[in-house]
Amino acid sequence: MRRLDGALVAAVVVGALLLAAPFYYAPYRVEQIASALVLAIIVLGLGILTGFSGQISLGHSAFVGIGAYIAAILVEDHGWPYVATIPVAGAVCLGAGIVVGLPALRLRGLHLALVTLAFAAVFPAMLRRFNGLTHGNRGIRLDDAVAPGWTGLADDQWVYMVVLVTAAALFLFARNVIRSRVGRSMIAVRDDEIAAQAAGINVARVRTLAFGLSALFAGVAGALETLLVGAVAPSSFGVLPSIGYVVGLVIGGVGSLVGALIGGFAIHFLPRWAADINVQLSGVVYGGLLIALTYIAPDGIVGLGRRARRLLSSPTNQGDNKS
Amino acid sequence: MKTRNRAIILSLAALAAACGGQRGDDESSPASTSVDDTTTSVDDTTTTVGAATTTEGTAAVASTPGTEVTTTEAEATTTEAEATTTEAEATTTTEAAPASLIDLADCPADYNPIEGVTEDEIRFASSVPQSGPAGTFNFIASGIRSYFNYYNATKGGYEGRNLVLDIKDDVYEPNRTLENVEEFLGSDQRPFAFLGMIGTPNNLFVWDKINEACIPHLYVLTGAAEWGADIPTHPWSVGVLPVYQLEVGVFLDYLVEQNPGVKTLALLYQNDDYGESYRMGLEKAAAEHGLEIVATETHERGETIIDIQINNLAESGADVFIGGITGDTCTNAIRGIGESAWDPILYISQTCTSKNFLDAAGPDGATGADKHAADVYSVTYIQDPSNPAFASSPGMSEYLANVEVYKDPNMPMLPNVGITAVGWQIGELVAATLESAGELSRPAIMDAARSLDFDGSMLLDGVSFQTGGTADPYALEQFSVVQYDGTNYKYSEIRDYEGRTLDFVDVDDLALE
Repeated sequence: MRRLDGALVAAVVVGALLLAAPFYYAPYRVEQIASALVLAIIVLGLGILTGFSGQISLGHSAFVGIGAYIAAILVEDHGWPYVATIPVAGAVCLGAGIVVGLPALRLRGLHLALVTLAFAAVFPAMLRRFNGLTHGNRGIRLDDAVAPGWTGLADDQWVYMVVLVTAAALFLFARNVIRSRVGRSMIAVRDDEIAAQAAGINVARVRTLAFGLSALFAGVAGALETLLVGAVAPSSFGVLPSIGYVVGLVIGGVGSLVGALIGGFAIHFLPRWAADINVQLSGVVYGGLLIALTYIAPDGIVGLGRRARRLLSSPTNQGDNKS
Repeated sequence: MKTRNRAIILSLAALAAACGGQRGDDESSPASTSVDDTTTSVDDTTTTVGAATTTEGTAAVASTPGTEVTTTEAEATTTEAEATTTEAEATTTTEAAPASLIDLADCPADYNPIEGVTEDEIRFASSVPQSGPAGTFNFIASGIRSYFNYYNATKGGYEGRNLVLDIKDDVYEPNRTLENVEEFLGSDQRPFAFLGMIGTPNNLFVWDKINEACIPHLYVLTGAAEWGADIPTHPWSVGVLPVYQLEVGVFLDYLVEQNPGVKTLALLYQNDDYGESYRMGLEKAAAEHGLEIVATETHERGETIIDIQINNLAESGADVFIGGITGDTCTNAIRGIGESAWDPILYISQTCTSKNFLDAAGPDGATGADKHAADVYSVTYIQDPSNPAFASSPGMSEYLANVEVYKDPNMPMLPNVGITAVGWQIGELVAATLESAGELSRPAIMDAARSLDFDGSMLLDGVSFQTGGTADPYALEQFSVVQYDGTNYKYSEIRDYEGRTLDFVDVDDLALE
């Protein structure tokens, strides 16, 4: 009971801070926080895939790209309002995720990682190839989103609020999925596939569904990124961002909602802080930070928090520490 | 436990790498000597914008955001054609001084034309890839900074003000470029102008924002034709590099002159905005010359093993190979063709002309004395720092003597790399633009950038930066065709395409809105 209250208080505090942020910070800073939230959504989706169904993907930048391009094409070429593109991007990516997830039925671990990595690697080339639809290398540039009059918000605040509300809805959705029968099936498949099958779980369906859900999160994040940036180009969706998402997942803590939020902020802000320390050595500083983090917090920052709490609450119980 | 040990070893390795990286930089750091003598008559900074005069003569006013400027009758500004040039190297000519293309009526209400200028600084900002796969472009920014330090230390800056370049890393990702520009725009130290940003999509992502803010978007470092084809809607953006389509046009003009019998072309290009410009240029120019493109292959950026593509092109047996390629791919293409049974004439991008790339193709390659001698052609406009033949030219010796002395100790510096020299040249061009502007203000600097006539010290003899309003928006349009025979370079006489870039560009191909 006490623990639940603590979690609730923490959620309310974080929510209040995030709500207040756009009224306190300068527009460019507000956009950075929104970018971090978008990354958190992607990490959250990846967390469902990796943390709960035990599959790995290095190809999520392609799903983000699909979502981003759907939003951009609908807004630019078909005159849709930005916000209406978000569910479409999510739905299409759900489908794309299920299709890409099919090979995942037969592939495990490293092999699956390679296939998804290849998906991410060819994605920008595909965008360039279909330039009638995607406008090729130069990408698509859109007019900035404008806040509706009734909100009384500045444009950047409006964009931020759309991102924040969508992120909150997706976090709630993820929490419910995880606690549902589907979520428990995923965990069962992750922990012991044969036992899960014996218990009557349709393993193939659960694994594909996890892929689809995870892609849905990435697609929605892509549409939000388009809203935020107001432009898309193939060079934004290469392999590197994909690896960044996995880094976020590990830093935050695999299999934790709070961890996804922390991971999103970490992969947005840590490289920038590293560059502030020394541009030339930014890669080294960032890499060093990551190594230090994996060393200090092997279960992610969330895991570190858990360990600290355990140590504080029951000093005699240090045996747990070995895990 | 094992993972722990591994982590410790990795951290140590990272530390070692970090220290190793720093060591070389510690020698001689001639701190960007700031000029103490800042007493230069402050009245010089009085800005005249149309009828409105910012009368407070103190330079401190320059950084006050609220400076009131009436922006209605703005056209009448600045750039007297006969702007007296103080430095010998900056010569401003007068042919039909173009009316200003800048209209301050569209600018923000609190617009300050001398924002970013203080009593002792003129602040420029840039976003370039400093890390990641495209991190080598950092040499350009390093070259610009080195020239600024040199200019500040030896020439006292511009009217006692040091030129300062703030740089942010964008890893070559357009989203990051946009984020960086927004951060500059939202910061306390907004720049006087943006300068030397790299990448076509990267600049396209930000040019609307920068133009809305009425801040000069100077010397965009991509050879796309966008920077100049759209002055009415983007009056604050100006490019500097030769347009790739023009380069291909020069290739074909020279080709049909030298080898009237050729009929068929084979094209290899990098599958991105850079290579695409070559394809667009080649399609247009080939049609005009009645030449046929019989084979086309692409490769992804970073994909340097191109044997399959070369084989496919070789099967076409085309008379001429055109390479819209860059970096290691240049070397591999020359070598691959040399090893095949195919015997075309080679024309490759001017980014390949660095001696570093061509020498690496080796004597057994296409450039070998046995087989394809004298068959590799390209164009260039700038002296190659890796070619000793230029070492004695005044511009190059000034560069070689100073570029390392005045480098930013926190940035990488390799004088022999061609793009470092390009950066140095851009730095010199910025100083010359300021000097020819007549007054220090954003509109004035744009007008100066639109009416350049400057013999850059690193350019080839007979090449100069020249622009003239909307009629001639492109700065570099004179080239020498270089022929490489495996050991020697033959530079043709300068071929002058001044004012003709748009003849080689299909404006429908461009990303204009």
